[in-house]
Amino acid sequence: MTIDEYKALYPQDQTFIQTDDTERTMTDEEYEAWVIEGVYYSNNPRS
Amino acid sequence: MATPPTFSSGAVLTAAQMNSVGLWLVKTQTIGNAVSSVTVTGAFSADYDHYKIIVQANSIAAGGPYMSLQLGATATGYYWGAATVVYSSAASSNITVNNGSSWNRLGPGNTVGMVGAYDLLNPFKNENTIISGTYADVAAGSGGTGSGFLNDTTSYTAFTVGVTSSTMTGGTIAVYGYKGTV
Repeated sequence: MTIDEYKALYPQDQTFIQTDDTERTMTDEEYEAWVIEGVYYSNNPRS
Repeated sequence: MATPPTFSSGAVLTAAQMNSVGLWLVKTQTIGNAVSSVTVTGAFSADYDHYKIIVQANSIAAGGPYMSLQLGATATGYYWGAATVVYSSAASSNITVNNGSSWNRLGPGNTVGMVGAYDLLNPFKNENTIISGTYADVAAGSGGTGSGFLNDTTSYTAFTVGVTSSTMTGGTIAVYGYKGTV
C-alpha cells in the first residue's frame, strides 16, 4: 500500500483522535506521522 | 464473614463486605467511530496501585493491526515480550517491543474486532509500570501471553489505546482497580 492509497482509504477529515468522549481530526503533522506508521504496518503484516 | 461473602435478596451490605470487593470498576470509555486512538483520562490515581484494562473494539476498518497502549504522553522506553506459538504447529512465534514508542505489539485485531485484557502494575506510583496480558492472533493463528515494562518512574493518570494501522469503531475500554495493596 502506498501513502496515497492509505490517505485515500483514511481521509484526514474522516479519521479521528478521541480523548474521553471528545473526537477531533488530526493536525497535518499528526496525520502525516500516522499515515507513515499505518503504511508501514499495512505493508509488514504479522507472521 | 465468609469468603466469599454470601448475599441474599434484600440483605444490607456491610462496609466490611463492600471494602472486600477486590476489583472495582474505575471507569468505562466508549470507543467512537473511525478513531485511530482513544485516550482515557482520570484512569489511575492513589486509590489503587494496580489496574486491569479490558479493551473491546467492535470493528477494525481494514487489515490486522496490533493494539498499542501508551501511558500519558511518554513515547519511549516501552518493553514487551510475548512468548507465542502457532496453534497448528506449536512453532514459536515470539513478539517483542524493545524500547518502543508504546506497547505496540498488543492485541492484535482484525475486521471483526480487537480484544485484549491487560494488567498494569503501579502506573500511578513513581515506579516502573509493569504490563502483562493477552496476545491472541485470530487471523494468523497464533497466541500466547506477554509481559513488559515502561522504563521510567513517572506517575500517570491517563493512557491511550490505539491501532498501529487503520481505525477502530465501537466498543468499550474498561478500567478496573485492584483492591488490597493500597
